[in-house]
Amino acid sequence: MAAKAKNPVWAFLASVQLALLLIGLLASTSIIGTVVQQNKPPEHYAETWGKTGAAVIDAFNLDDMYNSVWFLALLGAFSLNLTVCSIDRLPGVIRVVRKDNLGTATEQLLKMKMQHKVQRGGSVETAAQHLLGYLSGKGWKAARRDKEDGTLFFAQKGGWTRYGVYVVHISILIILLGAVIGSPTVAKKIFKNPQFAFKGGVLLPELRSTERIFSYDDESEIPLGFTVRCNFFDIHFYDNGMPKDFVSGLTVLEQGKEVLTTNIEVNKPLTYKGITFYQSSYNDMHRPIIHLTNLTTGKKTVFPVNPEQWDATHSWQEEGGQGMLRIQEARSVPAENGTGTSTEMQMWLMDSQGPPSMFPMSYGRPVIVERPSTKYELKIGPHYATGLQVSKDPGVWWVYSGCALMLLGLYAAFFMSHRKIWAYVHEVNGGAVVVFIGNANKNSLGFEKTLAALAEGFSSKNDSSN
Amino acid sequence: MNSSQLFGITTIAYLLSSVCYIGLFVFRNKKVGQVGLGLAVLGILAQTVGLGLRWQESYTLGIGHAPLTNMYESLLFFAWCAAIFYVLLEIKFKLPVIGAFAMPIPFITLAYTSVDKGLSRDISPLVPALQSNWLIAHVITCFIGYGAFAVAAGLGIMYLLKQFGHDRKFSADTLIGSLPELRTLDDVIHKTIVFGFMWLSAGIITGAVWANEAWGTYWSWDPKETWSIITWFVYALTLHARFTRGWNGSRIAWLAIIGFISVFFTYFGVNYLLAGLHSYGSN
Ligand code: HEM
Repeated sequence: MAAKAKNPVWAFLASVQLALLLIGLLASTSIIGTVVQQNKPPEHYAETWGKTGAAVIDAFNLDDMYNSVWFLALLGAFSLNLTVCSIDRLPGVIRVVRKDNLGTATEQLLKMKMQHKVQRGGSVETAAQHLLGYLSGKGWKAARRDKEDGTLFFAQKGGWTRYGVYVVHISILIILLGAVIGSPTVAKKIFKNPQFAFKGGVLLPELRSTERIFSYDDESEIPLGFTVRCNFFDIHFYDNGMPKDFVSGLTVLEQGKEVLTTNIEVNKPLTYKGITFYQSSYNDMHRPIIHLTNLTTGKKTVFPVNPEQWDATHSWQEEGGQGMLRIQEARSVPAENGTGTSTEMQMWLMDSQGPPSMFPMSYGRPVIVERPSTKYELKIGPHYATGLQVSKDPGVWWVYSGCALMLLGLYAAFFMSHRKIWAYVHEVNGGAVVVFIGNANKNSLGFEKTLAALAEGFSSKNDSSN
Repeated sequence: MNSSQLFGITTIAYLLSSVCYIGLFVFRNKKVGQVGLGLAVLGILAQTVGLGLRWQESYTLGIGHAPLTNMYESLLFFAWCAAIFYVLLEIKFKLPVIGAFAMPIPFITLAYTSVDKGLSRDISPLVPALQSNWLIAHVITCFIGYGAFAVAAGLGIMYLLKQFGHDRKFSADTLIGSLPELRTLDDVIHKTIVFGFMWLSAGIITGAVWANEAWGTYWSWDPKETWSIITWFVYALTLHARFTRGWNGSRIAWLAIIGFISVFFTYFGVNYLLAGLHSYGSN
């Protein structure tokens, strides 16, 4: 059969030489961006690399090289190579997997390396019947075909593992596709819809809400389509002063109605309608705020303090009625660590039961207030703004699926094999003889042992049944 | 006994094991090789208990996290992975001479952790970004891969030595004669790289998931990420060159060594060299 002459362009795009070249180029050029710092102001490059260096960096976009046209073109060529190569080879693999293995000529089979002969005796048909039961008992579901010189059985396992390599290749394309779908640049420039995918942030003071965030690329405003409020922000420290956690209490509102209230931390983001809010930083607003936690119900309430009217009364709703609290006096004292000043306050607090509590407290130090019906933790500290990173990445599930596929594909490609067994039953000198023939595309040594055991098992079963 | 004493014992066990394997390589005495294996297993057991104790110590300190969170701990874990990987390799392929090139890796790593005074041995609490199970999965998967790649580089060196002797027609009585056949070495190098590649891929993926959970970006081309993908490319290139272009022998041996240099750079270079370059550059 004359092979169809391939289009040379197609052959080039499908070639592994090109793949080696592209992978090599991707690996070596990627080094540049780890040596030249990325996305710094122009002065940085002139200072670090001199005038000529900075000119080269500017000419090749080395200051943002992973988004440069030439690097993206390299990735594009790589994807094209991978696609063409897979299209080119898949039909061949499908043919191998679907092959009619019972059609293989007997002489050809008997030339294969891996084989074991078992003298069976008796008629071919009895041997064939026994063999079929034996193989299926060992987990090999065999098909049968009678030929003029004998009967051939064939069974196989793991044919699909031949697709493993292609699963890996396609998974890479899926990951890259996910990266394109989730790219803010693509959303803006190609889909003309910055709301489709974005990466941005917002600094949200405690008790304030926002309906929009700011894109990291160009600081443009991006509407969320709902409202987010920061209820509180809190930092906890370890004894040695290292930060232990940053927590923001967030509430999502739709048309003024609260739909969801939750706390987020680093590594514990909130996702709502495909938009994810990550705890990323915080800011001290240099104004005081009162934090009140009902330790029985866990309910947290915060009251910002207006420095002009610091002695105003703050009230909140309790189950049994209303609670009220007020800073009655405040005075500056030298700070304990010797630098600057701190504030001592005299507080007044009352809820639905019992007489009011009056007690002193100092800035930044929580106190526990015991009331007849409950306990509160009260703290006056800095009014914070939580720094949220906000992103929408509709491509991330493509990326994750691609990653999962890649691992499955790698496992199949590396550690699983396509194993075939033929059993040829024919008559020699009036008695049946069974030849077991095996073939595996990987780990033949291991499969050789399996086949030997299979033949051995059949021959001993043969002995006992006589 | 505390964990650092156990790590001391481990270091000595790995050292003696390396000496025995080198003895096997030089004198072809099978018994010495078996002692080497025994010492390697002993070292691994001591280190396993040591890592367990360190984990427990972190709970006693009220911090409570797996011992995988700073340079010192990751070096310990790397040595552990490399030693275990080697012992499994010996059990599977029955080629103890490889030990002479593999067991020095965990020994040198542990010796380095006790010599470098700049390395903090404290069990410190985790900053918020590191408090993630994905981090644990990330470190474990990466380091299993790194352990395998380190052994592959050792095998690559063996291959090149053997070939050097072969080309110069050294007689089988020389040292070169105790090394396994070139074809065998080539096969083991390939299998080791395949194993490492699987785990490196899993390591990069778990790292990306972690980054996405903590910062909302699964990939940001920071130097560490970039070097890990460079390493991945180097090994992908190696697999393709072998599988489809029929490269084998010394070329694959060289690629195994180059791949490990890239691993080493991902692991150390990014922290020390690039940081250094940047800090010189920016003053
Ligand atoms: C870095 C990205 C890539 C990865 C991770 C990857 C992964 C793999 C793996 C794991 C194998 C099996 C190798 C073995 O069993 O030893 C393989 C084989 C192969 N790859 Fe790739 N590959 C990549 C890129 C490419 C590209 C761009 C091409 C384009 C030509 C390509 C073409 C091939 C071919 C032709 C085979 C042999 C398939 C066969 O005949 O069974 N690969 N690849």
